[in-house]
Amino acid sequence: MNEQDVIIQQTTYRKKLSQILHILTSMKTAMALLMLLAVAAMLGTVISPQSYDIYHSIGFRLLLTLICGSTFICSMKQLAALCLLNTWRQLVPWGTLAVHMAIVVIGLGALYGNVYGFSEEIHLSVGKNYEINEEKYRGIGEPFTLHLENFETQYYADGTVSDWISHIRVEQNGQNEFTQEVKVNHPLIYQGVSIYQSSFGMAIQTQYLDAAGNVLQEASLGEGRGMVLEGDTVILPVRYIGGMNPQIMYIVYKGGREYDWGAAPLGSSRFIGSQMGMVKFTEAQPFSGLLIKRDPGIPLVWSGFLLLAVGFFASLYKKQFWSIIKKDR
Amino acid sequence: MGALEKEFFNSAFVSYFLASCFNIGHLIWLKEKFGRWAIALTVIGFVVNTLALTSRTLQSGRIPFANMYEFGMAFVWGLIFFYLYIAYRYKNYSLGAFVLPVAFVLTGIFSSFYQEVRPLMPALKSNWLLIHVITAVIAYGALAISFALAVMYLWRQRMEEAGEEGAITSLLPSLAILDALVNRCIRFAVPFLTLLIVTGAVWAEYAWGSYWRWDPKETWSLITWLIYAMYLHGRVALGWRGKKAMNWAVIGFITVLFTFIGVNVLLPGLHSYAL
Repeated sequence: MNEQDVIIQQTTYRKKLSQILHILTSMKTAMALLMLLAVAAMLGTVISPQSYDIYHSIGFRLLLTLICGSTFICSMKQLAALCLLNTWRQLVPWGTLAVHMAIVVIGLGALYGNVYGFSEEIHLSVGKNYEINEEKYRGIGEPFTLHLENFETQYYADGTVSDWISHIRVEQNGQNEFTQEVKVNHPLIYQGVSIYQSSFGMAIQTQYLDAAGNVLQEASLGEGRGMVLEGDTVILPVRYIGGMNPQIMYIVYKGGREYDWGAAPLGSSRFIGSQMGMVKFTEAQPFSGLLIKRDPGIPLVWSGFLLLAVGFFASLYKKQFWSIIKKDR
Repeated sequence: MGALEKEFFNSAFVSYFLASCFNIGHLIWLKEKFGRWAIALTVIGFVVNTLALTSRTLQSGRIPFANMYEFGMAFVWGLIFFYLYIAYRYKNYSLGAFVLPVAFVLTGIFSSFYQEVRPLMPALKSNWLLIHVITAVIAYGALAISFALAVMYLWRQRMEEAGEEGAITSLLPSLAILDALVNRCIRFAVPFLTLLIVTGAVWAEYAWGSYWRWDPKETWSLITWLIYAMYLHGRVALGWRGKKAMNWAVIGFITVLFTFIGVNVLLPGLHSYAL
């Protein structure tokens, strides 16, 4: 192969590459990608997430990445056109560019938040502490402690729920920093970590004892959550019934079938059937389900949202906009 | 008070139904009188619709945006508002034969979701509710109009192709005007559709701790947005006009209806309290 052949071959490669790039960034490809996303998203709402979670599959993420990439290249083309065609005095091309850039910014924000953020639900009983530190959560700085002083449900006059409220005290370096009511729509935000009211229930301290009264197994369970014993037996506290003499209704399953059931007052044990040991519920405490979350991608995503909205109004409302300006003159 | 509000809404339902009949009658028998009756009935329906919303607001002491029934009343109100504006502006009321049936059917659907006034549940106690629902009324109202106009276009085109041009079609705006109007409605609606999703996302971040979880409502709102994004690209870059563009406008509004009603009924999720 002589030098000329090499150059010719290189240019054909380059031609092919630019052709491929051209096809990849063409409007038809972009439309196909949008259509594919719409169809995949649709399928995801029909297929139950237990059987297959489309939205967190590699294919779906690849599709989102491709759309962001294609949008980015497209907006670069728009920027180039804006400069070349000298249309930078007009609002519409800027609006269109803003909308496309916004999609990329939102995508980057989501990615950043996914990689460097965290989100976890914890169950915190009344009177208990939960420490938020570097070991559990990256990048939160100085550790601090959440103390749940009280959890309450407030009702309207007609009996419907008005609010679920966790009274949370934040402590740092052994000192009380502040107390806040955390409720739906009112998260607690401290050192970039947000704490949301997410769920609630009763934490029931459940014990499995032998006939002599020795504790064999122990767990703190929510209503409807079971403790699995050796073999295929499950103890399930179904419901906590409060009042003067609080009781816990329970069911024992063996081999997937109901084996025994009953109600036990707090602190007293009950035999399970005739062949097994005893069950005892020692304590029941209301708990608050709190979502602990940090998403460093939020500022990017919010900026993307703003850019998106502004860009759309600028690019789609041109006629009205200019006619108003002209009338003014 | 509650009974009165229901009466208002039922009266609106009847008015919109009669207005639909007169509008269609106007197109078929070409009687000026029918057209005038149709407008009068639409205005009456709009007034009682407004009264229904007002009494609901007074009764609950808050804006009536908390469930499907309340939002439905607001949506139909927005739809008729847009219709009356366009009809007045273009001095052409033939659009009513296509808009009023949509309004009448939706009124019927929403009244089936009727609920006694209840105080707001915790997730809805937020300032975001107002802006979120207002953007929805504007976006969905304009898209409902775009749908009616697109159906009108397709109908007129069919008549023309069948060679039945004449008295009836003379009442409808020309294909070119309809095409432009559909486009205008969609271009008006899309920024609000975007705001609708954005405000929903920001609100979800404060209420539930995540701006996007692929909840069925979120996902379908995205699908709707994608359909209109494709429409805009097709229109601007691929030169879609006429039948193709109109078909997209129709499909777009069907996805709007599914996002709005179908998801709440068929796909349970975080948004299901809206029923």
